[in-house]
Amino acid sequence: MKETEKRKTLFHFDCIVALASIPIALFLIHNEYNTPNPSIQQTLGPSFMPIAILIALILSAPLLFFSSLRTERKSGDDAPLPAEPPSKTSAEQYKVMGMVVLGLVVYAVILTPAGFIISTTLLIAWQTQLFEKGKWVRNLVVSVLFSVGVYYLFVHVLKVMLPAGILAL
Amino acid sequence: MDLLANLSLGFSQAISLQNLAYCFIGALYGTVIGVLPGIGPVVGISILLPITFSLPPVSAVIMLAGIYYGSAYGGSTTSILVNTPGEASAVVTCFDGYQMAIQGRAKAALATAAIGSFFAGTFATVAIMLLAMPIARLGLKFTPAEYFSLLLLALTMVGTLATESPVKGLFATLVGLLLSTVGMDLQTGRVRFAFGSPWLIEGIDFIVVAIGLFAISEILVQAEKIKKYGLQKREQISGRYWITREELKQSFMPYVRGTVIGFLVGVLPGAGSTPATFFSYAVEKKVSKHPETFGKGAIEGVAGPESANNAANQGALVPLLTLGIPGSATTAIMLGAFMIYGIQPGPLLFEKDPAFVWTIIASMYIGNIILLILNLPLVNIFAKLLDLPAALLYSMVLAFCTVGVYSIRFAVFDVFLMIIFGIVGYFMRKHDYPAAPLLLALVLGEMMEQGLRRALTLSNGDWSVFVTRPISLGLLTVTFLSVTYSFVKVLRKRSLNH
Repeated sequence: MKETEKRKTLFHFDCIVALASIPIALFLIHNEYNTPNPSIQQTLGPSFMPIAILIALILSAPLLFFSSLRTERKSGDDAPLPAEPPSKTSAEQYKVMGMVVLGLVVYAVILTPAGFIISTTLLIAWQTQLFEKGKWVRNLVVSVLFSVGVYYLFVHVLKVMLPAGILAL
Repeated sequence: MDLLANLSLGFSQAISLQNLAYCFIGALYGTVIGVLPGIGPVVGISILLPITFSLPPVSAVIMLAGIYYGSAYGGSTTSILVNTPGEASAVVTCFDGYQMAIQGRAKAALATAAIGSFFAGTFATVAIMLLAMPIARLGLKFTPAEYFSLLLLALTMVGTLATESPVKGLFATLVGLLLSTVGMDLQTGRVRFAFGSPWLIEGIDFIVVAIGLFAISEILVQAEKIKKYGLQKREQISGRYWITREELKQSFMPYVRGTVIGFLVGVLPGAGSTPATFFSYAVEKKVSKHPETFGKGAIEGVAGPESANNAANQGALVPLLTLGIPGSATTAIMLGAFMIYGIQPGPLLFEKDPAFVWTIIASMYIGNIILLILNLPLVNIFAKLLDLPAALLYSMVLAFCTVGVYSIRFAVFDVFLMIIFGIVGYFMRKHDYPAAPLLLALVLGEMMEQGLRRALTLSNGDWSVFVTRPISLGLLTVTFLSVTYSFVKVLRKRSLNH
C-alpha cells in the first residue's frame, strides 16, 4: 500500500528529470561544439567524451520517462486507495530542511570575512536549535567549545590554515 | 615462499610505532563512524581526507584502510542495541541482533558479531594475499583498451545491477561521467564546461560531491525525520557472560559460510557488502535445523551476515589494489585518496613498490586484532556514543563536513558546491536514484576517457581494437550481458505484476 503511494509521487519527479535533462544536454552539446579545439592533432579530441555522454543522456531520458509512466499506470489500477496517510514531506518539514540549507549558505558567505570560529559557532548553534528547540545554553556552549577546539586542532596541530577573520584583529 | 617473504617485509614495516598508531586511529575512528547512525565510511573518509594530505602515504593508507574495515565492525553495535542500522550493510543484523538484545542477550550478539567480523576480516585478508599476485600479473597484460573495457564493466555493474531501477542507475552514472569531464582536459589543456569559473577549471573534486551526496543529504533526511519520530532508546548491555561455548559453536559454521559468500560477492564490482549480508542470512536460514527461530533472536542470523559483511569489504579491496578499479562508493573514495597521495594502485604497484602493498596487507591483520579488542571488551564505551543527542551529533558532523570541504583547496566555492550536491542528493534519495554510481563514475571518468583515447591513439583510430583483443572482448561481453540481464529482470518483474 505504502509502495503505491510512493510510486505516485515518484511519477512527477522522474518525468521532470527526464524532460529537463534533454534541453540541458542539448545546451551543453551546443556549448561544447562551439568551443574552439586546440590545433594538436588527435585521434579523439577533448569534445568526444562529453558529447558522447550527453547523447547517451538524451537517449536514456525517454527510458526514464516511460518507465515512470508505466509505474504510474500500474498504481492507478490499484484500487481502493490506501487507508494510511501518505508519507509525503509536509510543508513544515520542508521549512526545517530549508533552514538547514539557509544556515549552510550563510555560513559559506560569512566564513572568510567573519572567520572560522565565529561562523562555525553560529552554524552549530543554528543547527542544534533547529534539531532540538530549547536547551540553548547547552547548545551554545557546545558550539563555542567545538569551534575553538577544531580551530586549534586544524591550525596549530594539523597546520591547516583556516580563516581567522575579524578575530585576528 | 615469495608470499612469506613479502608478508614478513610488510610486517616489518607495519609494526613501526608510527604505522601502528595510524592503524589504531583508523580502527578507532572507523568503529566510531560505524556506530554512529547515518555516517558511513564514505562520509567518514571524505571528511578526514584533506588533513591526511601531509602524512606519509603508507601511514595514510593504513589509516584509511583501518577506517574502511573498522566501520564494518561498528555498524553491528547500533543494529543490535538500537535496531537502527549504522550502515545499509548492517540492516540484516537488526533482524536477530535486536531480538537478542531485547531478550537480554545483547552481549552474546555483540560478541558473535565482533568475533565473526574478526574471523572474516582475517581469513579474507589471507584470500587477498593469495589472489593479489595472480590478478596483478594478469593486469600487467592490460593495454588501455582492456582498461577502458574493465572500467566500463565496473561502471555498468554498479550502475545497473546493484540498484532497484537500472534506468536510474544509468542516469546517475552518466551524470557522474559528465561531471568528471568538467575542467581542463589532460591531453590538450582545453577547458570544458567551466563557464568562466576559475574553480571549475581545476575540475569538480570528488570529496565535495561525496560529502554533499552522502553527508549533507543525510542531515537533510534527519532534519525531515526529527519532527516525526524524535529520539530512540537503546537496549542495555547486561549479563555476566559474553558468549557461551554453545553459542560459539552455533556461530562457527555461519562464520565460515559468511566469509566465503561475502568474499566472493565482494570481489565482484557492483554488488557490495549489503547484498552479501542478505545472501548470507538467507543461506543460514535455509541450512538451519530451526529456521523458525530466525527473526526471533537466532545467533546464526547475526554471525553469518556480520562475517559476510566484513569479508565482502575485504574482497572489494582485491580489484582496487590489483587492478586499480574500485567497485563501490567507498573504494572509489579510497582510489581518489590513493591518487592524491601520488599512488596509482594496480599491477604496476605490486612490481614497483611491493613494500607499500604488503605493508598495507600486513596492517590489516593487525587492524583486525585491534578492532576485536575495541569491539568486545570496550564496546560499552562506543555504545555510549549512541546516547549523544542527535542535535549535537548532526550539527558537529555538518561542521566537520564544511571544514573538510573548505580545507581541500581553501575555496568557499566548494562549500557552495557541497550544498548544491547535498540538495541534489536529498532528492536522489527520496526518489530512489542511487548515489554510489554517480560518485564512482566521477572518480573513474577521467581514467576511462584517457583509456579510450590512448587505446585509439595506439590503434591509429581503429575502433576494432576493443573487440579484437580477447580480454577486452570478454569484458565487453560481460558488460553487455549484465546490462541486458538487469533490464530483462525489471521488465519481467513488471509483467509479473500486471
